[in-house]
Amino acid sequence: MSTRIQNGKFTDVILDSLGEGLFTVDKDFRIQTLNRAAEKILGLNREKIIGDFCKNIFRTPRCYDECPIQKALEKGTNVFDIESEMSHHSGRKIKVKLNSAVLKDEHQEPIGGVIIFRDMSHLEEIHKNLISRTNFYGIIGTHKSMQEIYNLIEEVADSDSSVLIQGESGTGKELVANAIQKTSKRRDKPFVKVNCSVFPPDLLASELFGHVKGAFTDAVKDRIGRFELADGGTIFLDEIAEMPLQMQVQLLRVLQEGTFERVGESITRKVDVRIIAATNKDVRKEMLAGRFREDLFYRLNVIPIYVPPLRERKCDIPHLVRYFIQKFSLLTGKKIKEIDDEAMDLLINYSWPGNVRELENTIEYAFARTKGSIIHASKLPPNVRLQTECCFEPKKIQKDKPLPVESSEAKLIRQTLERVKWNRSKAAEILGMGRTTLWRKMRAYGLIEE
Amino acid sequence: MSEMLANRYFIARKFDLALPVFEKELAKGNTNVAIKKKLIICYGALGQIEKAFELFFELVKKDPFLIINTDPYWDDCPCPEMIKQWENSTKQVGVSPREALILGILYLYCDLDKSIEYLEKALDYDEYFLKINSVLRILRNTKSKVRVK
Repeated sequence: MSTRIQNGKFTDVILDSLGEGLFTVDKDFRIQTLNRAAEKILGLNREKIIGDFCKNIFRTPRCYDECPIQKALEKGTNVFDIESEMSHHSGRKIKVKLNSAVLKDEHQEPIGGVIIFRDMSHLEEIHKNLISRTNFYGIIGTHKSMQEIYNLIEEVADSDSSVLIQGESGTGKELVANAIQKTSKRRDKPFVKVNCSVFPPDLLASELFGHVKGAFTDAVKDRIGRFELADGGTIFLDEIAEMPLQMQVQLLRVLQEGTFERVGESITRKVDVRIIAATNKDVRKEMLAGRFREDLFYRLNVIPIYVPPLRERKCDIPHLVRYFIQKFSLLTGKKIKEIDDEAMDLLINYSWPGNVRELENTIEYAFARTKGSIIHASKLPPNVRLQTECCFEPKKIQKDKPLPVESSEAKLIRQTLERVKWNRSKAAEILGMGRTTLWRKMRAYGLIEE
Repeated sequence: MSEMLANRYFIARKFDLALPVFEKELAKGNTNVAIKKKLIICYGALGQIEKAFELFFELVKKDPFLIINTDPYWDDCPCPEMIKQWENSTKQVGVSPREALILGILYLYCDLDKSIEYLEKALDYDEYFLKINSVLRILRNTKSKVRVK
């Protein structure tokens, strides 16, 4: 008897040591066990609820429609990683991820169930924080040129016109395409993306328009193309300038008439697809070189969008850096919170030939090398450190340079910076402003190298 | 399919799904009184009043307290809501003997006096007169015993 009690106690100790909430019910769905984590997550006292029906305790509409134990009973298998919601005792909703299993007796008859759940509120909070920091559907940027893009996207939200997005590699053309699709009236319809440079010329036609069985050696059955998949919605043709001339003619016909034929078939099909195209090449140069059709260019370029390179919008670098720090903190679980002033200066003054993508990779690199909570300049990739160090001396040049007409704010910032030996974090704290604001003002007042 | 799944449907008030599973359990020889009590409610909720009464008759003959001792909260009994619905639907046109029968059945889960009151009205249901009368005798007898206690 005492061994059984000890075993029971031992089981309780194990259950209470789990970080995940756990409860069990009998076959009438009355709560039999509740571990300490479940008590904590749900704000419950197990003495008061053991024996009560689980639906009376968890009080969620899902208890009626989406009971995970019911699912396990119906399926005959355990249920994993269901995203759900539970109610805290106070009424607050808690996002959870849960697993459920049916407990059976020796005759394989169900005699109860167990639910194990993880509180996802914390991750939800971080996710919301990340979303709120994204300025426009995932595009980070406060620079005037970016604001103009956001305005344009909103203005053309009701339009079905073709869009041509141009910009260097890594500037975020696909994000712009996503934003256009998400704000358009076709947002609930299919959104199909095709990178035209990925497919060999002879396969691109089949990929875009589909083929019928026997059209070529590997065509063993009919296959629907991306345009048909996107019917009613939007297609994003990335790296459009890589499209062979012959395909450009076919694309022009889709743009003009909405019609095409599957490879190997003579039936003409009609689709209603909005086209968003993007390229990192100078399309006008491509036209002059005879590699891009002029008529296609004018058909595509109804709404032209130019995404500026990062070097032309350096004021967005601090925002982007902060965003990527949060992103990688979430992904890696590292508790890195910020970047020091010297490292930020290096990032701001680097030329970023690979644009935002390169900046993201740089922060990822620094994350991998950083052990503490702050990214220091020494942890940045050598190319960023060397290029910036050899062509820029940030503070020395500016500190003693007199300003022609110094406003009272500029004077205050300058004096504060001098007092704290140009430590921007300390200065920002004293001045009661964020570091980004301080940096912006310093730039505006000529207290920093542009 | 199992008793546990039927219980699950029952507490989610999916009586149409619970009923066939409970019936199968009974057919398999499961003699659990709780299943019969829930099955009576399922029949009632789905308008199969005669089937509900046959099972109700069986339990009352055996021991009326099997039903009388039901706790609406701790037994998750849906009778109070069901009674409200039935009474609302009969407010305008009055209670037919068949409706009185189901109300008499459901009331026994929570109010003996009201159950007797409705079962007396159900006596006009000719085909079940004898059985209803028999139930009424048992219930009146039970009521007097309860009063003496």
